[in-house]
Amino acid sequence: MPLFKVENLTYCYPGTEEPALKNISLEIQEGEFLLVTGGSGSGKSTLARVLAGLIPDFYGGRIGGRVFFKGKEIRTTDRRRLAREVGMVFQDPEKQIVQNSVEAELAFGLENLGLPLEEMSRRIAEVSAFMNLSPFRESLTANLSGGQKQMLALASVLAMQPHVLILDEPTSQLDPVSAEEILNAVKRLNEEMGFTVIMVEQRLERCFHLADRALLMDRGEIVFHGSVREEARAALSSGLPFVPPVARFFAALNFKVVPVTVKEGRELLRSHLKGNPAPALAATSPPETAAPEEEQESAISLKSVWFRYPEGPEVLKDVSLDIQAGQFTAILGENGSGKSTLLKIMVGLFKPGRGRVYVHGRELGHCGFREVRKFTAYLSQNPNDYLFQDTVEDELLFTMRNTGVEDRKLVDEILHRLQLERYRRRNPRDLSSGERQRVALASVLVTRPGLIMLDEPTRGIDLRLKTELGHFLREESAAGRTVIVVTHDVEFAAEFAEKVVMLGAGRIVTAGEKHAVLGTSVFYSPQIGKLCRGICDGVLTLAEAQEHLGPLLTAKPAGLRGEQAVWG
Amino acid sequence: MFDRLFYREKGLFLQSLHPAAVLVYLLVLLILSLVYEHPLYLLALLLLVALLIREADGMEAWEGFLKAGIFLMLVVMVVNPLVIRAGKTIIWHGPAVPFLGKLDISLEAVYFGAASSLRLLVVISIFCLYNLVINPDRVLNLFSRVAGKSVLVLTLATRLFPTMVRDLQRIKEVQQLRGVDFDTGSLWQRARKYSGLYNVLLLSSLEGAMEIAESMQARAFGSGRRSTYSRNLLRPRDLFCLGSSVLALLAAVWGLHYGCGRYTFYPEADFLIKDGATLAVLFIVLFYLSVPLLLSEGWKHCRFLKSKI
Amino acid sequence: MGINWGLYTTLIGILAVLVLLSAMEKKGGLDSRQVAVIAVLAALCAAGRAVTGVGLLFLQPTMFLVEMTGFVYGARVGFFTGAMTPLISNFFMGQGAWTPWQMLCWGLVGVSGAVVKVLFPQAGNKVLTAICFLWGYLYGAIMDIWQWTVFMRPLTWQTYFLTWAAGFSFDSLRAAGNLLFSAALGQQTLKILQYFHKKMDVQFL
Ligand SMILES: Nc1ncnc2c1ncn2[C@@H]1O[C@H](COP(=O)(O)OP(=O)(O)OP(=O)(O)O)[C@@H](O)[C@H]1O
Ligand SMILES: Nc1ncnc2c1ncn2[C@@H]1O[C@H](COP(=O)(O)OP(=O)(O)OP(=O)(O)O)[C@@H](O)[C@H]1O
Ligand SMILES: [Mg+2]
Ligand SMILES: [Mg+2]
Repeated sequence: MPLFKVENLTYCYPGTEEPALKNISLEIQEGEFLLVTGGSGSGKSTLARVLAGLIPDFYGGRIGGRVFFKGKEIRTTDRRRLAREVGMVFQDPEKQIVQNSVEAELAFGLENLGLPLEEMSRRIAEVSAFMNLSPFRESLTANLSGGQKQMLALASVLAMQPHVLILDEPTSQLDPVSAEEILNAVKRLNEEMGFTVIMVEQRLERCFHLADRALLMDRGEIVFHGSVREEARAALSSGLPFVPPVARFFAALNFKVVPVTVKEGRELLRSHLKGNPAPALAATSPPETAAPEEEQESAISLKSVWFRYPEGPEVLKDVSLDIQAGQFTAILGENGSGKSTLLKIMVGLFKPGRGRVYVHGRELGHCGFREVRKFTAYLSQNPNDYLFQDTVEDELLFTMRNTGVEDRKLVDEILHRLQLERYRRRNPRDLSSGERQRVALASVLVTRPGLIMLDEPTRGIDLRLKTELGHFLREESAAGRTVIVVTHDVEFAAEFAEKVVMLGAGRIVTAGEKHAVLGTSVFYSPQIGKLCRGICDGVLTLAEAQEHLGPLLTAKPAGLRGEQAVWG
Repeated sequence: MFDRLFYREKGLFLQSLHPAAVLVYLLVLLILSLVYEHPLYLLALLLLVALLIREADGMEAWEGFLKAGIFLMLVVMVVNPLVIRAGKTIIWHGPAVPFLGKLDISLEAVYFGAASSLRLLVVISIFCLYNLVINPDRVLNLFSRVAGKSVLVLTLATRLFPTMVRDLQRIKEVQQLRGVDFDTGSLWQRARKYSGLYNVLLLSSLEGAMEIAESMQARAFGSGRRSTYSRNLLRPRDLFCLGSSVLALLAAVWGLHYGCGRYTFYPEADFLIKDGATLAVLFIVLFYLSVPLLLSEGWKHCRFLKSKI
Repeated sequence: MGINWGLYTTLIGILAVLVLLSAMEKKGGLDSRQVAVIAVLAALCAAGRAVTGVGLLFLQPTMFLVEMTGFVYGARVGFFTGAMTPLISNFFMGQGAWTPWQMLCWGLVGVSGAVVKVLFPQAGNKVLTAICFLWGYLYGAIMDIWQWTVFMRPLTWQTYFLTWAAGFSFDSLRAAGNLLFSAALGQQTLKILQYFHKKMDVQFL
């Protein structure tokens, strides 16, 4: 008997006509690791909510078709029983934590189940040991870092000892190391403890190799459902981008067997390159543009900046940085290392405790943002901060009016560039998270500023939109505008940025051309970089890999050609 | 300023007491400060609370509390002599005022005003002490058995409060960079700018509320009777505190029965120390009340005591 | 002066708050959405009270929000939101014996919103603004009862009047603040609260 059985499910949220899920039929077996992926707004979260019993219990709305859990219809199952069996972890840890102290938070679900005190103590002790939360049991939840908060959210669900774990983008705000930690914990639960895991995720390079099966969704429908290998093949053949870079690389070279993990990919590469001369190393050739860069005007320059929040520890320590005009820079670093703070200092919102900040050669004074904002777009970490007008268009006009320009043509242009024309008259609060992100972006870019600073613009955005955003920013940078992006998405940084700055515990660890920084890093390395490490050092992006390795792999002796197939 | 709780964990002895013990102790203090009229008794209470505040490392916080209380104290000091006609020793004959009658200020009334403001001082100090030694989270935990949902609302709200202050800050920054100047323009214009700020905060917060509710629902909230997870430990020190608080209260009631702690201001003020009993009762009550203070001192300096309590 | 009214009024305040809260809690029980909305609104009100209470004297954008919460979400949510507001802001500004009475007053502000809804379902921002203005003074008058019984002797009308007069300027400021904020922000607030009220209504089709 399958664990979940969904039959012809169609669902509309209350007050909407368009169904969020259309005719879904699905079976999930016990002990499986299912990956749910697809474009933004395609109904992934909605499906997760259905399986967790939150739809229609919590949301209401119109529902057709049936959902069975262990052979019993989910709507007739007692909610307490369901909660004991199915646990769900959501995207934003801030919006899941209820209690002030870690221990109380772990106990919250257990209290709701009405468990006796001894049982609760035992479970809390167990789960905090498993998730490495024991040292923080007494601390306040407000003092935890982003990664720890996410761990806590997961732990508080695990304490209820469910058999099924549903995760809705659990790592979208985490740095690569913390994300790895969470995913490893999930993997352990699946492999060693027999949990059934259903994970919604957009960042495939992180989790594709963990899953047994994948589910690809598009506009409320299941487009594909099968093993991850088949998914990779199906997505590639229909031109969808929902495949990890490794698979895309080999598929583009017409390999028959498409590897989905870095390990498999490396084996395949090795076996193909055996006996061949080592390929040219990209990293050893210094970037040709190095010399002229020196002469360029620096858009932003920080001179040994120190900063601390009142009553807080030092957040930035002796940061010196030069960002040339027209350059595309990505700032990476762990959670809480001070990236957002650095950005705020650059736009003059905060004045450094010590040190100086120059923007276009002028030193920023007390209210530096007043001078800077005329030519700056600043996107904060939370797109919801931007949305308060009645329509998307008003949102853009609001910024325009404040800066004194009012040019409808610019509004049209930016809406077109970010593919928001459809939503022009919609209330921005009715949009999905990916769409909101774009509206917020449009509302700061509408004045065509010369300095673009974005704080995690790729979070919660699907692969297709991310690529579009990357190209857009690249064009802007090519047109002479300076672009600075804070991100946890190493793939994005490797693909589109020119320069990468790594921040660690408030200090600049490394800064420089992206190959120099990311090529040598272990954790902050894109998947293609991991694939080519030691085989063809310095390669970071798909295009580079294809350029450097493609000829070697395709120019094979006839004996090896048997492995190649005819699709693409 | 508001992005964290007033309470700070400092690992002090007083902070390690069971919240119920501290609450009972503070309640006894509060009751006594409201019941006693004798200036000497009030003064003694003030001294005790001041020592405890020092023990809780809170002199700075106390200053803040006192500053806030000064206005109220002044009101009490001024109003009492103006309206009270019961005193015998008139020190100033004032003119007749429509509503109040003839303004005769008596020494007793001034004295009474001073005593009242002394009581006010004690009450304020007790609450200062409360804020210093009790972790609000642990009090909430204590009460969650009786009023689960109210306490949950309260816990959630205290958790959200600092987040909200930070959100507001961030939204303001975002608007400033979108070209809004909050400190220029006419009052009306400024109000409109701030109203935009408030809109974003309200919208985002309510959206957040829906997400929190969803997560609570997914963790079986409201699916039946809740149990409570208590995190408070009961140690000998808590029993000492509880016992001594009760004894102090009993002693005080017994004393009051014989008039110790009462005081007459009108028409003529009593002697401050009428008889030996006044002092004896004061001493007994004060002794019981100072048990936490003594324990705290002992805990700091005596290793044997530290391991036993 | 045998009876110590200061003690009694304080105790009455505590009891009244406890009884009202537990009665409201027991009746039907709060679901997760109500808990979250009350907590968020109370935190918001408390933040408004704490942040502006210091900066702008008594001009607070809080009382009208509590009242509108009562108006839109009903007496229970209104009372809870109101009662929690001073309690929470006092976690940051300092608790005191004044807290129970403040809770009572603020809770009543929320209830008054719900009463308006029952009496005049069509009432708009104007009615609410007027009531909010009145509450500025009423709140002061009720809080003065506590102050008067605790710190004043003898307990005569004159002393009460004097206590009230001493706080009159503050009350006026509060009322003016309520009037201003309610007039300026009331309309949008109502709109937003009602938008979410619709979302909270689970409808199965
Ligand atoms: N609470 C809601 N009320 C009304 N419509 C909603 C609600 N939540 C989602 N929708 C709509 O349902 C559709 C599917 O949304 P869903 O959140 O499932 O997408 P998703 O695949 O998770 O997208 P994302 O990657 O952006 O999280 C979208 O068109 C969205 O606008
Ligand atoms: N308003 C504030 N007051 C006090 N401390 C703060 C404040 N904002 C941030 N911090 C602290 O400063 C440090 C750096 O925060 P910052 O937001 O810059 O990190 P970040 O690198 O952007 O992290 P993330 O990747 O999670 O966004 C953190 O330890 C954080 O707790
Ligand atoms: Mg989603
Ligand atoms: Mg950040």
